[in-house]
Amino acid sequence: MRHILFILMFLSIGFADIPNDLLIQGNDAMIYEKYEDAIQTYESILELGHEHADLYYNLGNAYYRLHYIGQALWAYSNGLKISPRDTDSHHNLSVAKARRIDRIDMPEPFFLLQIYRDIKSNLTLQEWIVFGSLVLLFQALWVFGLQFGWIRGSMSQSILTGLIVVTLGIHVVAADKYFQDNRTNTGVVIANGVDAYSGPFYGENTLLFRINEGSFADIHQTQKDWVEIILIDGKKGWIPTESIRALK
Amino acid sequence: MRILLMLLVLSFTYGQTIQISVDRNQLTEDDLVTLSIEVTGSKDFPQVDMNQVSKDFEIASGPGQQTNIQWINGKMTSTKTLTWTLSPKRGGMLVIPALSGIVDGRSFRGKPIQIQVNKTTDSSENSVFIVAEIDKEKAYLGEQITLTYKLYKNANISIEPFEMPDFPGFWVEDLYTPKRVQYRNVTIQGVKYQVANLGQKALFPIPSGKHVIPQLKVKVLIESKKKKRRRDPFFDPFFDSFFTETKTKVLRSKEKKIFIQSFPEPRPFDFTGAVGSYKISSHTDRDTAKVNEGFTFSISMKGTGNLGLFSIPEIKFPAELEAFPPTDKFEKDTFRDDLTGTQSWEYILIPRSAGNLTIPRVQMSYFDPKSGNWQRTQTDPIDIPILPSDAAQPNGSGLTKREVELIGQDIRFIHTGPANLSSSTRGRSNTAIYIYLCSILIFVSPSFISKFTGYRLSTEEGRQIRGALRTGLKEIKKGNGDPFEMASRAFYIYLENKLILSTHNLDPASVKNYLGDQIPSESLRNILDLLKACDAGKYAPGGMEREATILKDMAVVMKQIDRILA
Repeated sequence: MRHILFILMFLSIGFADIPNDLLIQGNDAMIYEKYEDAIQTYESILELGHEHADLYYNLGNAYYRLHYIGQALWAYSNGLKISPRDTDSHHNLSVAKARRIDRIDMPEPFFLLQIYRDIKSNLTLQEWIVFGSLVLLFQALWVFGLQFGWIRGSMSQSILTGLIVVTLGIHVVAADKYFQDNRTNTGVVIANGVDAYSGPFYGENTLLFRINEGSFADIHQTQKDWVEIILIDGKKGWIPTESIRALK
Repeated sequence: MRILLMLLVLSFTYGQTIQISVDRNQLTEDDLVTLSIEVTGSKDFPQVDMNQVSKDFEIASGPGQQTNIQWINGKMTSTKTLTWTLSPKRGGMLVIPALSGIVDGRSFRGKPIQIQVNKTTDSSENSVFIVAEIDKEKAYLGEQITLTYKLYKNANISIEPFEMPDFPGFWVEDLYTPKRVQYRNVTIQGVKYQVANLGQKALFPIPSGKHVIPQLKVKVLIESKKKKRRRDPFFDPFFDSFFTETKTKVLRSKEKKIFIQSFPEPRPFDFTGAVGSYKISSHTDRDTAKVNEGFTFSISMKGTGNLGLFSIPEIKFPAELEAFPPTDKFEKDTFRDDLTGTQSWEYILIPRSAGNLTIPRVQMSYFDPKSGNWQRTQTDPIDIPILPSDAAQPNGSGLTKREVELIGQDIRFIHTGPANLSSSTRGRSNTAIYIYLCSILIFVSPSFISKFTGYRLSTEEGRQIRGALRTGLKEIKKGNGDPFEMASRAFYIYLENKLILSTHNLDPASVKNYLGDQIPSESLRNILDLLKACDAGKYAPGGMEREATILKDMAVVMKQIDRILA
């Protein structure tokens, strides 16, 4: 009986280590510049259902080295979703973005909006929620203190008001972030010279525009083998499913 | 004459018989042996696992299928035969292991068959052979080795189509492949032979554990005259020459080992694997260029050696130039045995800012195996003036200034630290939920605490009442203006806060009204006296002697009343 237990224990340890072993294997392949091998290894970890910001970051590097700019952008963007303050990912993302062929630019947003977006993208949804709950907890303690008379003074009331405003604000940002994450389904174009048509099949449809690797687009709806995308400047068109990869 | 040397009969209840046989059991290394499996009375061909056979033998052809149906006295017998042609891999006593298989859903198993394979004897009769000729046995990595397979014969033979073997450890360029085998006459040690070139290859050793020239295997049919032939008066010797016997043989060239020499140290830094002799040159398609207008920069490399196995060192273009990946062109010169040709690369360069630009020199080191030395070839740097763009648009077609700079940078290295891989369900961790629950608990707890312990909670009014004395005393301490006025106002403010009064028009009469039944009459009289003194001081110059003490008195009285009211 004891032997069986031991065997089971070793087995479970063995299974738990597979993704980590693969990661080490992939990193070794990267060091020896065997980027195809590295990509295969990293992608298999993702297929096993595991993820990590560093995993996406390394995968992005492997793709970048083989000039798959679209795939590299996909990986870096996914990594930044998990760990939005990783400076290396930001740096590599901007290097990879500079290598894109298409440049679809949005008009420069109002600077306050820009500041708001920067702040919002600095924390993940999870972190926003935790942050909001912590402020709420502090607020609760403050009220508690007021009611038992431990906190007094003319300022105590205005601080309470400020706390309420901050709590509400953080939760509004979190809600905004939640909808942004869940409602929109962003993807990265991973093939070059993709023709976008007015309908989900070749034939009579008019060729609307042509996009290249690395462009970000919202996936609006899906048909068999085709997806309708909306570019950030508002252009809409149908492209084959295999030419775009949706962010996780 | 077919000799059944090994005969194996397996009888089944349904009358199936299986025979496994070979046509001979004495042969030489270049002979072939036929293995046949004959099944009588079955519906299907047997399925046989031939993997065991391939240890000592190579399957030259097969399996061939053959069905015979016989009617004898109205009874039908069908015989199905599978045949393989096997060629021995080595000499000595070889064994075809016990074959097992399935026929009509029943499995069978035969017995091993022994075959004696003799070494090929170098008799004059053995007059057909293949030689692999190489021009050198020692080579540097990347140095060309010319290999020629030659067939020598002095008998009539016909060659069956053959395939060139794989060359592990080499990069192979085809130099010559005959469309038709052509012979020419040579004499070797007094024996006349006809020799044919079966193919010529340029081999370039690549880093690998093994560098062996493999065997070339060719199946030939050799015609030989029958020696024992009856002298028949009816047969003319002329006819006799038509009756020949053909014999199938597999010819093999010998394997040859190549010794790889290592390069002399130190290696130049710009060595990318070029071995041979090369010359590179470069030019641009125009002398001047304009901002945002592309021009081409071509590099061509001419030489002999392992062309195509290496690349030129990466060119470091100035940051003001945007370079697109080059197009690669390779022209092979086939006139010589050495692999010679021209390889050229074309870059499209787009200048992004005006000024004088210099395209740096391109240099490359190569190893010259003839002299055994390192050599270097390089191009001259090219100066090209860039004129401002005609179109007055600052960020013409694409890259902004900042991004142009970024192209000069590279991505950062991978993160190799241990990562705690989490499974993909982006876990909404419960931390936040616990904190929320805590907050709600803390929000509601005071009312419960007060209910069970009777503790009076601090409400807005409570704070006002408790703060009343402080507010009043603060008013007194302000200390500017008429002291009488201040003293009375301080008291009224105190009273308003203490008793939560909504009115602001207090006077001694209403004070008496509010406080009459709450404080002892002595205190009431005190305060009323004071307030009246204040009123008198405000409106009449009379009570001036009290001016100095009125504030202090008022403070004392206020504290006294507060103690009573608390």
